[in-house]
Formats: sequence, C-alpha cells, structure tokens
Amino acid sequence: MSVQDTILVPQIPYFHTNSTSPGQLAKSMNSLRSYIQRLYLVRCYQEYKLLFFLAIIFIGAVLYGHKSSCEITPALVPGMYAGMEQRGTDDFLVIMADSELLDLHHTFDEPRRMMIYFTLSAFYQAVPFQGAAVGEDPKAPAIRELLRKHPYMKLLSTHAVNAREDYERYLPWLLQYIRHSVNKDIQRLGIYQLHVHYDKQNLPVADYRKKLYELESPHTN
Amino acid sequence: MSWSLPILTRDTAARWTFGFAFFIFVYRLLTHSLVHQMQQPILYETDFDYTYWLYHLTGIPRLLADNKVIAWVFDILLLCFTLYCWATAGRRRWAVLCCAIGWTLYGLNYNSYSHHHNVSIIGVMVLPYAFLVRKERKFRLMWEGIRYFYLYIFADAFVHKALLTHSLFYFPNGAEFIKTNQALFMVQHPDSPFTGLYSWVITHPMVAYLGFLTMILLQGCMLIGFFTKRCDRWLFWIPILFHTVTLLFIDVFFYELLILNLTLLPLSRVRAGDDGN
Repeated sequence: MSVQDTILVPQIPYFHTNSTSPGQLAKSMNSLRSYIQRLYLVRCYQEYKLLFFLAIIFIGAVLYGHKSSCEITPALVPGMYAGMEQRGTDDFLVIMADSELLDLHHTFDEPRRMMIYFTLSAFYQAVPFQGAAVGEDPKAPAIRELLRKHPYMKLLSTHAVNAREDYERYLPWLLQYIRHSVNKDIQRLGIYQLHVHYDKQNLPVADYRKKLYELESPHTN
Repeated sequence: MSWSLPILTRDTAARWTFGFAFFIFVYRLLTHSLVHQMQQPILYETDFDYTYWLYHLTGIPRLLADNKVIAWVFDILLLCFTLYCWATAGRRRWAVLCCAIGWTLYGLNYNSYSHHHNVSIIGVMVLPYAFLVRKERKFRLMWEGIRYFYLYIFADAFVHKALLTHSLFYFPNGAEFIKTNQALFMVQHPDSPFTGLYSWVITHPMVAYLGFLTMILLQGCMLIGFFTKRCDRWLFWIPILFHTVTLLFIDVFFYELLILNLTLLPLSRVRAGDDGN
C-alpha cells in the first residue's frame, strides 16, 4: 500500500476497497452506507416516495429538455444569454401613441412591456407590414416536422400555435391594452421599425424608421 | 461580525412565502399584468414546452382570457387565497392548494400571453406547494427539494455558458449583452446618466467582460449548494447581487424569483414530538 493511499483512505473511506483487514473493511462499508443514506434522493425514497418519484421525473425532464430543446415546465433549461454573436445592426419596434413615443423604458415596467412589445414582435413575424397576407405561426413548420417524426404528439400539439384569424384581431387588442395600461384615451397608434447600427466604438446610432402599421380607434373603453 | 441569517420555522416560512406572493401580486397589479388587466389577449406563445401545450389543450387559458368576469373572479380569488394562506401560515391545506394552483395557472397564463416564458415567475408557481405537506419531516424534504431546484436554475445557466456553448469565454459578450439590451434606451434617452454609464462600459470591453465573467462565475458558485448547506449564508446573497446587476445593465427584472431565496435560509431543527400534524 502506498503512502498516498493511507492518507486518502480516512478521507473517502467508502471508496476504499483494497483493505485486507476485515475490521477496516467493515468500517469503510458502514461509512459508505451512512454516506448513501444521507443522499437526498435516498432519504426521499425512504421517507417520502411521492417526492422521490417527482424528483426522478424532474431529473428525467431536465435531461430530456437538454437533449431535445423541448422544455417541460418547471424543468427549465435556462440557456439565456448563451449566444456568441456580435451584431452590427439591430431593428427595434417602437410605438407612437397619438404622435408621442410610448416610453416604457423602466425595467420595473417589464411585465407590461412584454405584453406590448413581445406580442407585437410575434405579430410582426407573422404579418410583417400592414396589408401583408397573414402568415402562419413561426413555429408551425417545426411542429409539423416534429409530428412527422412523432405522430403520437398530434393531440398535445393541437393548440400549440395561433390560428391565422387570431392575427387579424391583434392590433385592435394592442390598442385597447395600451389604452388601459397607460390609462390614456389614445386614439391613434403608429408602429415603426427603428433601424440602428453600431459605430466603431460599438455604440448604437439610430438610422431611420419605417412605418409598419397604423391604427385608429373608435371610442371604446 | 456575524453573518447568520434568520432561522425559519414552518410557520415563518409560510408567512414569508405568502407575504412575498402578495407583493408579487401587487407588483403585477401595478404593472398591468394580472389576468383581468390583459384585456382578453389574442396571441399566445407555447414555445416548445409540453406543459404549455397541455395547458392550452385544456382550454383553461381561453376561459380565463376570453371572459372578463371570470378573469376578475380569478384575480380576486388569487389575492384572497394568498392573504388567507399568509394569515393562517399555510395551515389550511385546501387554501394552500387553491393558492398554489392559482399561481401556477397565473404564471402559465401570463407567460403564454406575454409571448415570453419568463423564469422569474417560476418561484411563486412552485414554492406554495411545499405547504401542502402535513408532516414536518416530509415538509423539510420538500423544502430541501425546492432548494435544489433553485440551485439548479443558476447552476444550469452556468453550465450552459461555461461548458455547453462556451459563451463564457467569448470576450465580446460582456459589451454585447449590454449593447443589444440597452440600444433602444440609449438612442431614445441620449442625455440620461445611464446612457453615459452604458456607453462607458461598452467602450471599455475589458470592464464589460470582467463584469460578465464575474456574474457567470457567481452563478457557478451556486453549484456549491449541491454539496453542502454550510455556504448557504453566502449563497443567499448571490441571487440578490446577480439580479440587481442584471436589472441595471441587462434590463431584466428577476426579483420575483427571489421568493426561492427563502429556501436558502436555515430551517429550525425538528424537536421530538413535532413530527406530526
């Protein structure tokens, strides 16, 4: 037995298998047993079977999510801000409400801002400008491909995408939501695409803006 | 100097959990994002998340979204159950169940109709379920499980950046994330002191990268929690620091997730005879 082994043995006795002394081996086995019994999943299995199975399902869902990129909430795959891309330009959607910029820049406004700008972005992907033919939900092709490989997912995916007619009702809803959320009787919405480029110092510079949609409202509250 | 954190009993854990949930409710009310405030939304996002697919298959989202009265009733009940659970320290299991289901439905609904599966709401969607458990020992196991879940959120984000995509080692990322998240603010508010701050950081990419690196390594530090609870008193402060820095520089609001920070507080030891109803 080397000197290194005799130093390591007391620290991780449960990995020690080359002992010739039965007493020492028994001690190591007891330590190993005690270590295993302290493991969270083992304690769950012994004391709370339901939680044990939930934990196993969660771990399975996490592994599945990482492998397939299909999440099962709450087994999230938190891969945000993991990209490696340097942008030279960007396009942003901005809203003019009665010729005034709808300014919800404060981070604390995030929930309201998401309801407006994230939905608008999704709408823009399906209907890129006013008068354009309604496209389909951007993930519809990927779902069709998924169903081709796994037809048993058909029922589950029945309501996974927006219907085409939903896009036609979106802009009036947006106006109504903005009117209520900022508590102003807004009559006209103008939605623009603001093009920005990044200069030599990497700082943003606004180039131009292009009108995408316009909407006028009847007096409804 | 002592860095000891308050020790929770089951009752104080319940009061803090449902108290925090109440503040989330108020925050959502002020930011116009409760179900009755959504004005019967149209478009939704299920992403590639089977939970959301299943949720929309049930028809519950449309029931809540399409009907103003039902939306109002839902929000009022959510508030009432949250306050009742707070007042009774989560001792009425039927109320805890209603509260937990209510927050789960709210989270799924908001994330669907805001077109963004926001991680910050996940805490209040999960934590109330811990108080459904009657026995103290089972409650402690459940609480510990949610602690691991919380650690996982940070640890996995670290693993993604460090080991899977290697974006942690991509030098421009520090300035890039600030630039792309703050560009609109910077062009719309050129005179703001924050624009000056962001410009300075972006034009000093080494500073930006060191900040980015520090934040991701802090996320990685949460891995320690999987092996020992002795560092929880330090780990407790990491999410607070992390979410404050991302709020300032990346323009994302994750404070609601801090409800799960409660699981990093020590639970008082079970006394003999306490392990019952």
